[in-house]
Amino acid sequence: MQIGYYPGCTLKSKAKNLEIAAIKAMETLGVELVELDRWNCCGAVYSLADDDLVHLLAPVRDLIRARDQGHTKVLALCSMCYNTLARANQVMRDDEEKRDALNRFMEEESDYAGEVEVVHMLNFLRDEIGWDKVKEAVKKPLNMKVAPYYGCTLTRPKSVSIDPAIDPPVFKDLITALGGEVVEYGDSEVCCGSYQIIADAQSAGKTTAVILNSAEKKGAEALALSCPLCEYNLGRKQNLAIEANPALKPLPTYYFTQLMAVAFGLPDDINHFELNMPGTVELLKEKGLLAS
Amino acid sequence: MVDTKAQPARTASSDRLTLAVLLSFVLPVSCRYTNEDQSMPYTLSDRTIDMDFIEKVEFISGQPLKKCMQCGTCAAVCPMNETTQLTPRHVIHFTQLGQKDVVLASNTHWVCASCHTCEVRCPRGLDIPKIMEALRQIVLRSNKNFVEPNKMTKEQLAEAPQLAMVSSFRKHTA
Repeated sequence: MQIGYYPGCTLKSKAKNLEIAAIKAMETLGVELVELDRWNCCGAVYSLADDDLVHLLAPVRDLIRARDQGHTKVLALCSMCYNTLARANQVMRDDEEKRDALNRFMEEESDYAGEVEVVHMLNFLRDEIGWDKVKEAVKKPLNMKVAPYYGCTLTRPKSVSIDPAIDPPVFKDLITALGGEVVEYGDSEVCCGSYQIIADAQSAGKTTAVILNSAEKKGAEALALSCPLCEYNLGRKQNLAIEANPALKPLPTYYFTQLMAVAFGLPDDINHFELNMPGTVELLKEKGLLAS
Repeated sequence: MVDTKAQPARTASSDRLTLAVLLSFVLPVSCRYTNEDQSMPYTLSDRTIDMDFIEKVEFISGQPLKKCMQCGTCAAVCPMNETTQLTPRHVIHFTQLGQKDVVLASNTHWVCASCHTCEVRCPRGLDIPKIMEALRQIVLRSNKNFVEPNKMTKEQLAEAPQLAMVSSFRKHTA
């Protein structure tokens, strides 16, 4: 099986660990992620101003590329790209006035009316692969307590939510399929502070402290997530959360694709743990989950 | 980058203040109320209610501000409520009353991370993140930045993922 794949700005460098693990894990499941021949940054955030059409051009251009290259679906790994592309696609599908204005503006492109479907990898695993097939591919069940973290952009707003917006099961189902123990905690959809990390890092630390605290209280040994910005705030910038709440212990964070690669018994080097926070390799070693 | 602590933090008095403004709105003549330390008077009259501001926020956000019934659900669920100076409920109320200076002097619309937690819970179906975006846009469209990209630290430039910078500049720079 092949599917069109949109990487986004961060996955080629600072979140290489999310991308490479995903490509290899999908290969194991018999799916080839076909990267779009040409793509640009989606803009990372969907413009919420009603009169701002210009910021829709970037995501729509990506969708046009996907369609022109013969894809009916385009898969995103990064939650923010997923959200931005899916919402832009909805505008092109449902808002006639905006669609006409954008199509007229992009004279060099063929007209687009939302023909492509934007999916997130978690959705794709659930709908097209199925948890049974994921289970079959597991060689080293994750024998640890993993807290799934959705963040904002996978489940909100409701129109692009990959699952029911309240208590979504898809991430939990993946962890269960990989042989891990799901940690149920109340804050799996609480915002990590997002881009506030640039303007006011301390305030982002306060929000991540809340999330980490409730996960740790429920006995989480690791946190699984799907967004490079969440990973930065909750993982590599965990020291800010510990500053805000000194009772916290460091909690290793992994991309869900890395956990898939680990459970599938793929070579360790594809996971690029050097890009994760410190302590991630040590935990896997302790649990006997490393391939070498 | 921007020292949000320079402005006074939200206190219990701001709740009483809002009540005072609410009361003043229902009285037919111009009324004058002050907060606890008598330092910030709010006068509500046809001269101090900025109708242009109300219209602009409604136009950019596409949200009818009158829909808000001040239940405070948004204030209760906001993940940034330790940092915001006014709750989203306060912001909407002062915007309903055309108090542009009060609204824009608070840090709430800058601290908002557009996480949509309030939006999915608003019983009136208001898209509150769009209102916050409108407030940001009103400032940014006058060519004023909230974040200065050239003042980012070396550490931030070296380790922050690209999408952190792209999204921050999209939300916080003109």
